[in-house]
Amino acid sequence: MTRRQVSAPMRSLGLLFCALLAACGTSQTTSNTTATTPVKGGTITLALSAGWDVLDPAATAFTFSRQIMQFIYDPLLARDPKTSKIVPGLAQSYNVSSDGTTITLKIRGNVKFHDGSVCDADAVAFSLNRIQDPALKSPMAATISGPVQSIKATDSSTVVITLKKPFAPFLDSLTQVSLAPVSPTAVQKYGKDYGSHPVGTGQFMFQSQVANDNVVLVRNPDYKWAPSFYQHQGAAYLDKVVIRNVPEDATRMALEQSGAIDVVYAPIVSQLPEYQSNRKFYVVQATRPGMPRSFILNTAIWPFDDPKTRQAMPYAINKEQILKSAYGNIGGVADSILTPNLFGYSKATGSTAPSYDANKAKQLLADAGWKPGSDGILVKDGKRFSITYGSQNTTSFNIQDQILQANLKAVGIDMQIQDEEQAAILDDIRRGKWPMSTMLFAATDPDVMYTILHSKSIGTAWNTSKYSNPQMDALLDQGRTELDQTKRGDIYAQAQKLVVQDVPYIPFYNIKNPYIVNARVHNFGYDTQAFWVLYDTWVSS
Amino acid sequence: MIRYLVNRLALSVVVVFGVSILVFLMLHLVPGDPAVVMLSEQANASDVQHLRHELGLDQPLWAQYALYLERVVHGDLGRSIRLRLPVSELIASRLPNTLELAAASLSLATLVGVAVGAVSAVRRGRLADNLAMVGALIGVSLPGFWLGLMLILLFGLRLGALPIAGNQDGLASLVLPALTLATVPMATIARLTRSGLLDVLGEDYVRTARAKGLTEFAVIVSHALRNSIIPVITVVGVQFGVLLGGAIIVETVFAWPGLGRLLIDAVSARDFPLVQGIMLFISVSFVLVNLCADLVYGYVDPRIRYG
Repeated sequence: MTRRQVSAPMRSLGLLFCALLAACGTSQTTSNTTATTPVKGGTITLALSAGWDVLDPAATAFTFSRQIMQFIYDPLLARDPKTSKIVPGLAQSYNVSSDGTTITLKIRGNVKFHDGSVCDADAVAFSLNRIQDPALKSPMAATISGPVQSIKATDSSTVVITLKKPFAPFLDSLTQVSLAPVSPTAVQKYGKDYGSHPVGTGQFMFQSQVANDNVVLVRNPDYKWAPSFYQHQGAAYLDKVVIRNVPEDATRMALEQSGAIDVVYAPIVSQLPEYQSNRKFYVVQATRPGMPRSFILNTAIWPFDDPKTRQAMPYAINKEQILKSAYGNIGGVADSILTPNLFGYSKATGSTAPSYDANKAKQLLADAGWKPGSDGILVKDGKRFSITYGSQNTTSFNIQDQILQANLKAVGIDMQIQDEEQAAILDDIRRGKWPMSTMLFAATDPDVMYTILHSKSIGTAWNTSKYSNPQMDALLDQGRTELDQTKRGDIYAQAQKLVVQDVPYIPFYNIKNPYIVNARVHNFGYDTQAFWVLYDTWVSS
Repeated sequence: MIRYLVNRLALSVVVVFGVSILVFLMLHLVPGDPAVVMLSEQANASDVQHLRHELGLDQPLWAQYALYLERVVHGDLGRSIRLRLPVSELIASRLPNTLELAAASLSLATLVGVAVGAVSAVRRGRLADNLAMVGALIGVSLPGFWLGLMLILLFGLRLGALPIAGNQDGLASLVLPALTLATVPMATIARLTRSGLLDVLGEDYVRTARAKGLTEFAVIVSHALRNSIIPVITVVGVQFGVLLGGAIIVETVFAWPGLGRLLIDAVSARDFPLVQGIMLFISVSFVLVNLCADLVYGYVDPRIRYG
């Protein structure tokens, strides 16, 4: 039995359960939000909605693995969550040569891994070079091997990274936990099993785990190298962090309500208003940067190989209704292929994006040669406008897909929904199985557009619309090598304009991840990638 | 007896072999590539190709199966693609939790089921019998996930008496999942015990036992029950075999770290070695538990002979 089969009936019962849960009620108590002096100690328990794989930054790309690793490892550079600017992390300074091909990192002194070994330039160079080791099968290998010529430690505190040619997104890569230093001593000691015995320099140390079920982390008492944007320096306040995998939505909500866990990931959206009005809890909404959730129009096959037909589509879709009904108004309507919180987002392009206008959609479709058939469905060259749309069977997707289906029906398009589970859909979207489908792509640099729109990314990366336009390719190539931030911003603005014009994707939803937090938790934070940050967090007794 | 055992064991090998082929084929025939799942969105096509090669997924199916079989015969179940740990280690880490849950729920189901069935048979047609049989009917009909959520609501949230999920709170954590899991077999056992007892309560040897002056309790337990318990043993055996493979739904509802959840996660991630390893373990356990149940028949009822 697959997860989908299990979860479909469970979901509907989950909703019933939650209605009962609400009826069950909780007493309204005053939260401790007035307290301002952080208290050291205590345990925080977080519940994720799925599992993770390994806790080796170089060996995984799973979101939840990266979330857990954010606590264990420190990236070389960091992004200030308020300004999104790149600031020093484990590297106390960085310098990019004028030709953009040499990056020099100065590593902080006196930094130690959790096993007591020193984190110096040798350890950093070892960690970065290790990612390219074929035996590791690292999903990040291309990040290094693509742009990098060599990585060398020139003295105990200096690492020099030589690039094959200027590559503007590389600094962003250095802010990712995937490129964070790992203890060479621990890698040697644990070998293939390192991912189950992670040793970094981070705010919390790995204590134990039951694979894919729970992880226990404890405070790193020696920690004194936090980036400057945090509210305090020194060791974290919390004694212990427990992360649990609780796959069933209703159970996760019950655990949160009972106080058995402090923070819940992926809460049931319809329940959020109750938690927002309950002083025992508060709701945090963290914006996910990158490519918004978008509908993919497969430009390589009928009927979306016709640009005129594609151009009609955004007018047919009621994005506001999807946001309201499927996502409980958490987040926003997307108007560009980049989210507004990402460097390079063009507000000017966003303001020109088509908004819902079914009549205009009908008119544009008529201009494209579509005529209503006897059953109301459009026909062109003897072919009915009937398409299959690939999606997944989740509560939000079901609502979103039904709205889309109704919107398209209203303009004369027949859409059949074909649901697949995660493993299958990734493969099929990439192969271009359907004329229409949906995807998003989390990223912290506008170079994400290369991955989803460059013709070289067709079949090799995630250009799932199979969009090929030499003008777009040239812009995206330029965006990779341009080091001047203003010029780089202009380049991506032009590229976004092309997306509005050619419609390979219809961005519709800027995602915000809602988290329900128990009021005993103070200073609960999240970073620019919407990952949880617990360094300044403390709990009331 | 020995010959019977050898025959059954030989047949078991064939069954397990067949299961392993079926699981292998099913995994490879459903859509979804473990390399794509593992590399996630970061990967490009050459990375995927490279990983497929590393994992041996680019070889013909028969070659992949032959390699797998060779490893299994040497006691190596391989390493999980996703969790990167030896499959045997992962199974061993989850097995105690699954065994704990299986043993607790089945003990509860058997004790309560037999007792209720016996009382029901003895009090046939009376209020106790009617109540017990209505209860059994409800028990058989209740979906596990619904019951689980209701128990969480009542005992976990409303009364705050028991932990809601996970296994971090010792024996207390076991109560709700074990109760949920026990309900269906408990109801089945109660009904079987009742009908079995009703069949034998009118027999001559029961009348003789009563004539000897034995107490009614001794008559029921030592004479009648012993002769009507065979179907119950079958159910308990089959159920134990099933539970050894983990109870996917109950483990998911209660976030119980057992084999069932490990299996469902492995299926979702197309973690071929882990799915194959768990399925092999389940089929071997199932076959062995059934064999044990068959052997227990002879002990309970000496008229049964093996050959």
